[in-house]
This record gives sequence, C-alpha cells and structure tokens, in this order.
Amino acid sequence: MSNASVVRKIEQLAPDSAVGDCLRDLFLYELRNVDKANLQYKDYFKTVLSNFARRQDSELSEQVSE
Amino acid sequence: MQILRIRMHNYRQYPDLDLTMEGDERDVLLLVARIGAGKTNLLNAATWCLYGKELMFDSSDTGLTMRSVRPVDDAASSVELRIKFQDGREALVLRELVDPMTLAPVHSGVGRLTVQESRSEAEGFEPVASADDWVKRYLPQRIQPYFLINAERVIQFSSDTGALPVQKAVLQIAQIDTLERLVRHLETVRGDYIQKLRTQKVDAATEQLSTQIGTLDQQITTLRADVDRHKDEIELLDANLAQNDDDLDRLRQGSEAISRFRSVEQRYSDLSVQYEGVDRSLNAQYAQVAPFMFAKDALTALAGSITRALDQNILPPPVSLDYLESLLASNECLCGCSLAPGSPHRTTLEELVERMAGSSARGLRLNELRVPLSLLERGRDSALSGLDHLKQEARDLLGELESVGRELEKARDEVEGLKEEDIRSLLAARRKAEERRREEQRLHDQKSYQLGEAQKARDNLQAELKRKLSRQETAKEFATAIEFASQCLEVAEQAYSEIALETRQAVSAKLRELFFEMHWASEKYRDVSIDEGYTIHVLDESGQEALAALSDGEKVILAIAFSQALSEVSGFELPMVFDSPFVKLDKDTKILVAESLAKHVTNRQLMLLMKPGEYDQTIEAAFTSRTLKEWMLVPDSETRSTSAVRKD
Repeated sequence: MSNASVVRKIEQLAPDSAVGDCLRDLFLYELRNVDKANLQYKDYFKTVLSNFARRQDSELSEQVSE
Repeated sequence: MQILRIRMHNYRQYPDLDLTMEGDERDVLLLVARIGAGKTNLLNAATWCLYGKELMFDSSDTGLTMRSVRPVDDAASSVELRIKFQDGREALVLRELVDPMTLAPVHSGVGRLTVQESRSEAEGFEPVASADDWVKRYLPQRIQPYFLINAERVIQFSSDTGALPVQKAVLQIAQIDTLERLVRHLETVRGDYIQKLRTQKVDAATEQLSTQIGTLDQQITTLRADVDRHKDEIELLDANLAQNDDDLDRLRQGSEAISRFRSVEQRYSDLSVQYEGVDRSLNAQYAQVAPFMFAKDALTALAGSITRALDQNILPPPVSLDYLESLLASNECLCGCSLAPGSPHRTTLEELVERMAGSSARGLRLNELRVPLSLLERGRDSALSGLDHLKQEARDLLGELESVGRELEKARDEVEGLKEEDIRSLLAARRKAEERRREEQRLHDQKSYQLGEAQKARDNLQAELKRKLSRQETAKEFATAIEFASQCLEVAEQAYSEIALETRQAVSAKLRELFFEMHWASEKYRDVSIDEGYTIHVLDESGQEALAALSDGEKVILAIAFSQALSEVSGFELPMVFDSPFVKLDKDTKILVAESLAKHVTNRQLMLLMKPGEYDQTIEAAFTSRTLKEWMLVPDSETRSTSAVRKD
C-alpha cells in the first residue's frame, strides 16, 4: 500500500468531481505537512474550499450553457 | 533500502562495534551470539539511532544506562547507520548520546541526531538541514514494526495484548495514517464551522427585523405626509398673517391718521376757543375805545360850536348834557351809540359835562377844552393800541385756525372709510390665525419629532438588519464549508474504510498462506484469519478457536508469518531484521520457516540475529541461493563488552 494508492482510491470513489479533486489536494497537503499546526491546515482548507466553490460555479455554468 | 553498516561506540556492551554489510542487497546477514551478548541491543541501537528511543526498553522508565559500563574513551556513546536507498542515495545517520544543549556526554536520553546524505557515489556526504525531518520523511517510525522484528514481541500481537496492536500494525502498513489525520482535521474543521454556524443563525431574526422596518416605513410615510401637510398649512397661515400684517399696517397708519385728526381737531377746537376769547377781548377793547372816541367827537363838536360862536361874536351856549347830545347829533357823531341812561357813552358825556361845568361859570373857552381833549386823546391812543394788538392776535389766530381747518379737512378725508369694527374684526382674525399657526407649528414639531424618532429607529433596525444579513451571508459560507467538509469526510472515511478493509484482507490472506506454508502439520488447522475487529483467529480442524492453545513454536510461526505478511503487503522494500526467530522451533519447522523466508524475502535485505543453537546447516541450506555473511558476537565477561568477528 502507498500514498499513491490512497490517491487512487479517492479518485475511484469520487471520479471527476470537485470533491474528489479537493480531497486529493487536502490529502497531499497532509502528506507534505505532517507537523503543521491545525491553524495552518484550516487556512489551507479555506483555499481548497474557495477552489471548490469556483469549480462548482464553473460546472454549474457549463450545465446551464448545455 | 539496505543497511550497509552499523557502528556503535561506547553503547551498552559495545565499546566499539563496526558491522559492515556492504554488498548485494540480497545478501543475508547472519549474526550469531549467545544470550546476553547483545543481539537484541543491535535492534535497540538501530531504533534509538533513528527515533531516539530503543525498541525494547524505555531507558527513561527502566533507569538503564545506554552508555557502556566501561567506555573505551571519554567520547560520547553513539550509534551510526549507513543506509542505501533504491535510488542510489546513501545516508549516514548518527545519534550521539549527548546533552543537546551542552553537547556533554550523558548516560541516557534522546541525544543529538545528525544526518549526512550523498546523492551518488561520486558525491561526498553533505549534512542535511534538519535530521529529524529527514528521518520522518524517509524512515518514518510507523514502518519500524515491519523491518525491525523481534519474534517474541511480535507474537504479543495475537496472544498478549489483543487486537489493538494488530490493528495498529495493519493500519500503519496501509499508510492511511495520513488519511486518518486528514479525517480528524476535516472533522475538527467541520466542527468549528458548525459551532460558528450556531452563532450565525439569524433567519428568523432578520424576518422579524424586516417586518419591523416595514411597519416603521409605513409610519414614516404617514408622519412625513402629516409633517408636509402641517408645513403647507403653516406656509398658508404665514401668508395669511403676512396679509394680515399688511392690513394691520394699513390700519395702524389709519389709526395714526385718526390720532393726527383728533390732535388737529383738538387744536382747532383750542384755537377756536382762544379766538373767541380774543374776539371777546376785542369787543371789550372796542367798548373801552368807544367812549373816548365819543367824548372826543363830543369835544370836537363842542370846540366847533365854540369857534363858530366866537366867529359870530356871540357867547357859546352853556355846556349841558342836552346841548352836547344835540351837538353830537347835529354833527352825526353818535354813530349809532346809545345815549340811554346808564350806557357808557352817556356816562362819558355826564362826566364831561360835570368836569366842564365846574371849570368855568362864565362860559367855556377853547383853551379849557384842550386839557380834557388831550386826556381823551391819550386814553383813546392807549385803547387803540390795545385794540391793534388784539386785532393782530385775532388775525393770527384766524390764519392758524384756517390752516388747522384745512388740515382737519385732510385728516377727515384720510380717516374716511375706516371703521373701528373692521380693525377689531381684523385683529380678532389675526389672533385666531396666530393661534392656529401656533397649533399647526406645535403639531408640525410634534410630528417632525416623531418622524425623526421613527427614522432613527428605522436606521438602527436597518443597521441591525445589515449586520444580521452579513452574518447570514457568513452563515451561508459556513454552511457551504460544512457541506464541503462533510462531502470530503464521506469520501475520505469511505476510502479509509475500504483501504483498511483491503489491507486487512490482504494481510489476513498472506498470514494464512505463510502460516500454513511454515507449519509442518497444517492440516491440524482449518483457517487463520484477521477478523473485522483485527483479532487474529486460528481455527482448528473442527472450527474451534485455537489461538490460545498454540504452542510457543506455533506462536513464533504465527508471528513471523504476520510480520512477513505485513512486510509483503506494505510494498516497502525495507530490510527485515528478525531477532531469535528459530529459538523455539524444532528442526523441521525451522527448515520450513527458513525456506519460507528465503522464498518470500527475496527483494530485500534479511538479517537474522540468532543464538548459537538456532544456527546450523539447515539455515545455510535454506539460503543456498543467497550470499550469507556471517558474524559472531563475542562477549568478554571480564571487560563486559562485546566485539564482532566476521566468520567468512
């Protein structure tokens, strides 16, 4: 088992979705920042959250245009 | 990964040990030593070097010293591992038993870690910036159980301490500790947002505020209309009052004209009275002058009579009242004066007759007439002078009276048409208008105040609504964050569960395979597995739980199989170090275990730390396809130290 398999599992469970992409980013952030304080994690969470919102908006506009 | 060299200095029973394992990574290192020679301390040394804590002991708990009882020199105790990675990098990991602050040698503790790294053989070693971070990154402590293996300890996974260590080991090799941490973080973040959201829930409050603002808006509209209405009314009343002011001004001017008229009228009246007085004085003065004039005329007529008598040489007649009267009448001197008894003229004549009769009995002479004549003239002049003065005064008064009369006529024209009732009516209307204006002003001020208060209240509510709406907006953001975190959590937890399940199933299957492969009488058992609760089950042929009934040798087989299963499923090509793996095994089982290890641990370094009784030709036979490097650990009871001797 490896971190790559965790990423694959996330992609398998949430394929081509904003949640899947964001969760993968959060996981990689955890992996890179083992000792980071919770506060920093919360900041990164906000960044990912805004990415998620943008992605959702973009998906919504695509659906509307279709 | 391959351990190329282990060096220890003044560490426990190793004053100065240098075990070199350079060569092919498929080499099998056999290290043989008697009990107490220090096999296990090799594992302790490697663990302490990497993580600052020994595998078997916690020196802080036991009080055991890691420093040699008899150190060869004053240098600090130290352990150094030389490690080679699959990508060709090499590292020197050195931990010295010193006080991290003073760097003075100490007897136990974490000590100080340094790491040097070489990217390739051509390059030299360079110290890394943070040794602790380097170890956490490349050799995290979680991989320790499946490359530094003490068979006696491993067996505790299944027999002594229950399912928890098994679960811990399986989950560690599943490498989902990061995922687990992510789940915890997500739960914390979601919990924080939920907590924040609780303080931001304001939907009902905003609706209530909106309603209140709507009501106030209606009130404000009504009040504003009232205020405007009162304002218009006041403006109208002001216009009326201004008109009224004009009327009053006009009336005031009329009033002044009337006063002026009355003043002139009074003066005219006064002048008239004064004139009448003067007129009366004039008449009196005339009355005073008339006797003198009459007396003079009488005397003048008498003188003419005397003159004529003398001219005719006759005696003038005696002076008598009748004579004078006839004389005056003949000379037309009476001028209408009454000579009736008691009248002033008659009195004057009587006085004249009396005066002249007494002066000469022999007949009146002209010279004798001169004295009364001059007296009469003086009286006459004096009376005339008073008369002239009075006449002048009468003329002046008359002139003034005419002037005031003209003025009076003019004033009369001015006050013509002015009526007192008009003024009274106008003043009454004005009082009413002023009263109404005051009332309107009061109402206007009252409504304006109410309007101001309502607007103030509305502004406050509006500001409150704005704040609440802002909080509501924030609440929406929090809700989005909670939803997002929940979705992530759902996927992460599912990934965690599935990976844990897959890993457990893989380890369980591998454990079963290896256990049956290493057991000479595998038919005694139906199944070996790890259940959902991470409990290891060994079922006998009848299907009964037999874990507790396993012999010591079977437990060692189970432990080695479990360690090997963990190592294989992990996918890490880490060295496997077994401490006394065969000590409790019979000969046949030892062969099976050794062959199994030789068969399965093919792509990684294998180190077997054995007691002299464990090591025999069967081991060598099992690893015929591998290069064996043999070391003997030789203890010296006198110096209480151990040295390593290479057998080959």
